[in-house]
Amino acid sequence: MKSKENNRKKKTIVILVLSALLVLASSIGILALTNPGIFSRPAESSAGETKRLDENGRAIDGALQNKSSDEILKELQEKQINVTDKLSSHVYFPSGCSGTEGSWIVENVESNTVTIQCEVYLGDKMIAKTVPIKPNQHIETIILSEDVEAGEYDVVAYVNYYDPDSGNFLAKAGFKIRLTVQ
Amino acid sequence: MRTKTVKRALSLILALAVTAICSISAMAADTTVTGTGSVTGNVTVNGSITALTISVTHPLAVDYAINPNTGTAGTFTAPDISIKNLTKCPVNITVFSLKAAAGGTVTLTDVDVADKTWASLNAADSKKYIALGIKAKDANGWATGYSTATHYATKDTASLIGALPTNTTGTMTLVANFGLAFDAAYTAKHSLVLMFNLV
Repeated sequence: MKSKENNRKKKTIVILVLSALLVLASSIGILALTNPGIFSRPAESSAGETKRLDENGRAIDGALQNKSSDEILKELQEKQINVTDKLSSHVYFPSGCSGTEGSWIVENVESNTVTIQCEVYLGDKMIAKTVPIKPNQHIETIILSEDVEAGEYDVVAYVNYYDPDSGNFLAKAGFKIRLTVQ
Repeated sequence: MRTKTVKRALSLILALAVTAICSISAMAADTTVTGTGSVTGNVTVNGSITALTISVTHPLAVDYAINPNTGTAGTFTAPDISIKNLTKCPVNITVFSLKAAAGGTVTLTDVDVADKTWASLNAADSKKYIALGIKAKDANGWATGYSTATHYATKDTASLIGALPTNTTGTMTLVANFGLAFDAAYTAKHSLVLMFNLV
């Protein structure tokens, strides 16, 4: 009887100890998960006793020298492209019917580095468009794309400039000229 | 021998007579006006006039640079916009439009100079707003009466800058007000359309 009781007591003690160890281990695990650095080596002291200069290159002597306005201006001037427009101040169509071929002279001078294509506007409506004109080319005719009543008009001819390789639009300029439709 | 000489002389006289008669006949094809006292003859004169060719040289595009680090309010640098009139008579130069355009890393919004306290713009507004304008740089080349006003991009109507005499170059320049709080390098675009016409 006595030995049985002793065994029981021993078992109880073992169980209690194991339970306590389990609880302790769980607590440590939870603590480690919520504070990952808790068991890592502490950071070096900010007193600098372990941090050293990293000789990984050489800086440039002197203060920063910004580009002067003149230098920037020179760079911008070198990038600037000029174009020369040359066109007749009068467009003439023998008839106002769409499809009529009229007379108009536009020249893309040899010194230009862009392809041009001109559009003639009567008010807000485009009434004629030239074919593409490459440098050192010209046109003498243009096709009417809309019906226009006979008469004299003030129109605007837009010279559109395109990249000669990609065909991308670059810019445009306008010319106020006269239109005669017979 | 004497007969031959006479024959030759007669031939010559005959040839001269025929020539004279033909001349008179040719003159008889013109209109002849006859009458007494004053006589009026109407002669129609037909003219053929070719339209003048307009020719102008100008920049295709204009670049500018903003450096907020230099100067008291940053530095705006832009090259001159030179326009040369190659037409045989004066040509008007008009700024038809100047507007912010897409194509840069930022697309700016045009505002008036007075709309913003430029030195105080924050980073977001610095890369959003600009007051960009264009004007005649000086009187050189421009005909008397040219405009000294600045055409700002907020203006929706065209501005006549002035007239350029033949074979003369006039210069325009860009001006701008801008913020300083740029947090990186950016590019921006504006579209400038010039208009030319005979004076």
